[in-house]
Amino acid sequence: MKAHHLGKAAALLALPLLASACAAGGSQGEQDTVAAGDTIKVGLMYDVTGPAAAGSIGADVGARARVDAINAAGGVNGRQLELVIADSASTPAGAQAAAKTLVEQRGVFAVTTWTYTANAAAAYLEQQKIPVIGGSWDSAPQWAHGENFFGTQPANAEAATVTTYGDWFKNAGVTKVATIGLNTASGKSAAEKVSDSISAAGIQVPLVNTSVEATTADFGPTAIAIKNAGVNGLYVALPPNGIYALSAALKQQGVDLDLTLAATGYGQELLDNASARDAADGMQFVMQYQPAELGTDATRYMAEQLSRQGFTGSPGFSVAGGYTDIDLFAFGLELAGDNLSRENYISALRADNSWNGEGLMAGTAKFTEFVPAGNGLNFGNCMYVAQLDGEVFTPMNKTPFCGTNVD
Amino acid sequence: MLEFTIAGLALGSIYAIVASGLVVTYVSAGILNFAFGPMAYFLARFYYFLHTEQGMDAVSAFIVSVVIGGPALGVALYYILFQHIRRSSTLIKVVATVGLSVALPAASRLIFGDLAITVVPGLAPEPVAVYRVGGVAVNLNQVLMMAALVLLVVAGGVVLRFTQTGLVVRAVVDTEAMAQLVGVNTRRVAVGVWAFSTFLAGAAGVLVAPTVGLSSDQFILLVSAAFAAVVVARFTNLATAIGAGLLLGWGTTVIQNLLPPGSTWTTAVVASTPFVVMLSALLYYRLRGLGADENSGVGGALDRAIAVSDHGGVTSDTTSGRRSHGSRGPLFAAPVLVTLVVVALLPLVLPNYWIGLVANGICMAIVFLSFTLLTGQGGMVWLCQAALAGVGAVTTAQLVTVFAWPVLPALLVAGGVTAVFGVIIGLVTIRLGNLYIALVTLSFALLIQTMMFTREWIENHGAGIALARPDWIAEDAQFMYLALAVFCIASLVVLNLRRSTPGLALAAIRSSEAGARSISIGVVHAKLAVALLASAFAGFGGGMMALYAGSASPISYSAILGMVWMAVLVTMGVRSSIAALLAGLAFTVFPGIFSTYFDPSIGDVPTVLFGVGAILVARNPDGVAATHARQIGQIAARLRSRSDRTDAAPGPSTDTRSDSRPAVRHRDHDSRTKEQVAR
Repeated sequence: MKAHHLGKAAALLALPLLASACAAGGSQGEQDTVAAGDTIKVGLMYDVTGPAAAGSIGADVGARARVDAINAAGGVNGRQLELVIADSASTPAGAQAAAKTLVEQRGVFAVTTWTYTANAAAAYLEQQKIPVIGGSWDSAPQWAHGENFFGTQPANAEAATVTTYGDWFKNAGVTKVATIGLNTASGKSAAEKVSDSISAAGIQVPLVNTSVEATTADFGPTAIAIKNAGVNGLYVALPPNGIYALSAALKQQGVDLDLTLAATGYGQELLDNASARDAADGMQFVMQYQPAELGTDATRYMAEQLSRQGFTGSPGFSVAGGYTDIDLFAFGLELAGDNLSRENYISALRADNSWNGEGLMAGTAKFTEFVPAGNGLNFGNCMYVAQLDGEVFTPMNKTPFCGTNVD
Repeated sequence: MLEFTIAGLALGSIYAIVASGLVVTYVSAGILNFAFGPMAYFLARFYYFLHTEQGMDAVSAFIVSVVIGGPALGVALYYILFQHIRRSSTLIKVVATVGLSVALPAASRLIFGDLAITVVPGLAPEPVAVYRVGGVAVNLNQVLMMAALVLLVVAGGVVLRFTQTGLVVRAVVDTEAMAQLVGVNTRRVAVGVWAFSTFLAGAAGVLVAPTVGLSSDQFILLVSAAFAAVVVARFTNLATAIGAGLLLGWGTTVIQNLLPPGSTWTTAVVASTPFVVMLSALLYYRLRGLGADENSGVGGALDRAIAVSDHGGVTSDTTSGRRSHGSRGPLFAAPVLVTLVVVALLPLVLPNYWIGLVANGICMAIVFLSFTLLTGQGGMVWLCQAALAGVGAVTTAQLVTVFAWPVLPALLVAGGVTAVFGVIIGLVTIRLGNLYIALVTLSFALLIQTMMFTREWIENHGAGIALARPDWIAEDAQFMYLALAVFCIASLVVLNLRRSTPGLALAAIRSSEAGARSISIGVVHAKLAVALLASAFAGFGGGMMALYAGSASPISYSAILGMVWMAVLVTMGVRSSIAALLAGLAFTVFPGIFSTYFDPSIGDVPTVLFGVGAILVARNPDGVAATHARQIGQIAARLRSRSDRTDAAPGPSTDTRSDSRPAVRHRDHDSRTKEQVAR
């Protein structure tokens, strides 16, 4: 009986070799060029599993909403889109494997990314000359000078410091600010650049903590350090869950701040989570796109498409990220025209300086200068801000709040 | 200071509860449960599922998940696993519980979904009440943590001292055999102890979840930290374990207050404090000769001598009726050559994607050979191979990328650096029992992970140190052949060592250390040689892995991942080089198949299988590859004997009788094996 089971187990484990040997037929070839009428495969690489997965929920929903809407409208230049999802598993190795799976195994034409580990796969994607569209907040250097990389929003370490954040805190009457960032390239560069921006506005920044790990849930010590720093303003560049946990800890410590500004956190998942909502009441959230509550044409159109996927309410960081990734990808397809190849696609989109997600984004991309469209630490230095008031978000500005570069 | 003290005592209470759960099973069952953290995680995740996701009220959810679910899980695991490894060697116990700790979190991710949850409601109703004690905020969840410890100490003390149940439990802990002789049903006591310990795991998990979040890695780290308290208590002293747990929680939290906030060093120092404590305590006890007897958990010598064997089929990893590999067999057997040739031909038939995975798998196999050497030949459990591979990766990347070295010398130096680490670890642990070796190496791995891998120049925001492949191995197929060549050379070294005098000495030590010593077989040199070689392989292989990945990214070499590696290798077989190769391939190709052909939501299935494979080692110490090979060998022998008989049919002669003898022996061996298997 036992030998029988062991035999089975052995057969099961011998499967990988056999299957890989049989997989020659499983590869679907690369999609270097796409003939008219063909389906275009576009990959979406995000953290379906692992510690960062909680912050990535909905990236697929946003992407699928945009893909379905485009297909329903007849596709792009007569070509339908097919979304292929790969799990970057919250690890660099996972991102590398996902990129390879998409390109070599699933034969996608382009890869969209929404994960902070995408930087681990950037060298490979650059070398393969695959069009890469995504949130450049993983801070791979390729976003700043890789010909085939197109960011929807910036946070790369090479970005300039801007006056936007300092002005926002100053307008709120804040005199002393602490900044807290995740120990990732994006968290670190966001917290540091924002600290510079705030300092440039003449506001003190006594505490800059960029050592928070992605898995941290115990924000007690961080909250005590913020309390001890005696600040009346706070900037947080953490994943949404981290922000809620930190605000709960601050509340327990009785820390009363005039303004807490968070890099992410706006979204329906906050409204749906009573304890997080309670902790984050009064907090403001920076956004690279218009909050749904503004009710503009762009947000209404987005809401309509999302509702067809069963999503209603305020689209958060990841939902909007998946949506805008695909929007930019399709925009590039239109530019590339009928004669579609990766090379054409890259050169056409690289020459463009007009994408703003049909008015949804806070700024307009300048791909000739490697400048994305979203809220800025760079030339497109504009942002929307929404505040959580009880059970609803209130937009703080109807038009983008913009600044200039700090010299 | 007071605010940190309160937070520290709350965390310390959890350490103390965990430590007491660990001590209870150690003294009564002889098992240091490496899966305690994952068990706590599983039950806490179950509680979250019921309470938050299904809307059950907190008390009912706690009763279902912890009061009922905890003991149920404990009893189930007892019958599935723990009863079989009661009297196994420490090696088997460690490997089997590590396997469980690999399988449980993955299974829980499959069942409940894979989201690290950071905002977790505890037992206290939301919004959590906050009290002010001397101006310091303390919330109801923290109060409950401390109250739970007080309850455990008081109720546990009363039950153990003043009740019949307590008397029976104490009797079994003191001497199981004598307890059996006076009619105590020790099996029932064992089941009860596992049920109680798992209940403690669940309670600790639910209580601590609001503080550390619901992530299996965090739970494993938390319990690894609590190991420090258990080590301080020398595995057996419950009161010391509780005290040490409290102090540990308090100490780490207060240290955080004294260091500058925002520095990555602060995070590193706080995270590594428990492991420094554990390492120091282990070394102190060892130097003072105060170490616990690793067999103390199952009674003394009298118990072992007169114990009624009621523990299932396999008693030890080395003493079952298997053939010793020793020096016998050709250097390269036919199946080995066939496997190598098949792998070498893969680039001709496979698309590049799979060649890449195979290349990466071979790099991992080079690392896995260090397990083959240490555990398979040296009989030692090291839990730091991933850390050593990481050190090798970082060294290689630094030399190649920063100092512009050619790749091969850089890899050799990386192997050299880790070999030095290996010799040091070897010297420190060489005369220790396996449990100590496992804990020392685990602490070492966690220290490397928390102190070294978190440095910014290494970690580089998760991207690690870049490491580009030179042109001559730029293609995955070229790189695969390099990896295969390295693997073959390393395997030859392993085989040669096995056939050498030190290898034979190690085989003798594995089968009976006391026996080997009695005929003056030296341990130190042979074990040191194994430690040196194994660590060199780990470093070299780690460098190769980084070459494949294009960067040395420390997160790919975490201690927890190292446990998964061990589970995979043990599943395949810890003795043979070809099993190491298959394990490496399984580790990369299997997930590749899942990510290509299946939904990401079942991506954890391979990990569950790896963990289950390691658990199976309790019943099948040889691993899948060796078992399979043996089965094929048996079939071949049976076929041969059948044809022999057909040949001999015309009539008996002296010659045929002598020919048929081996066949008869084979049949005997077969039936014996079947008997063992059936048992």
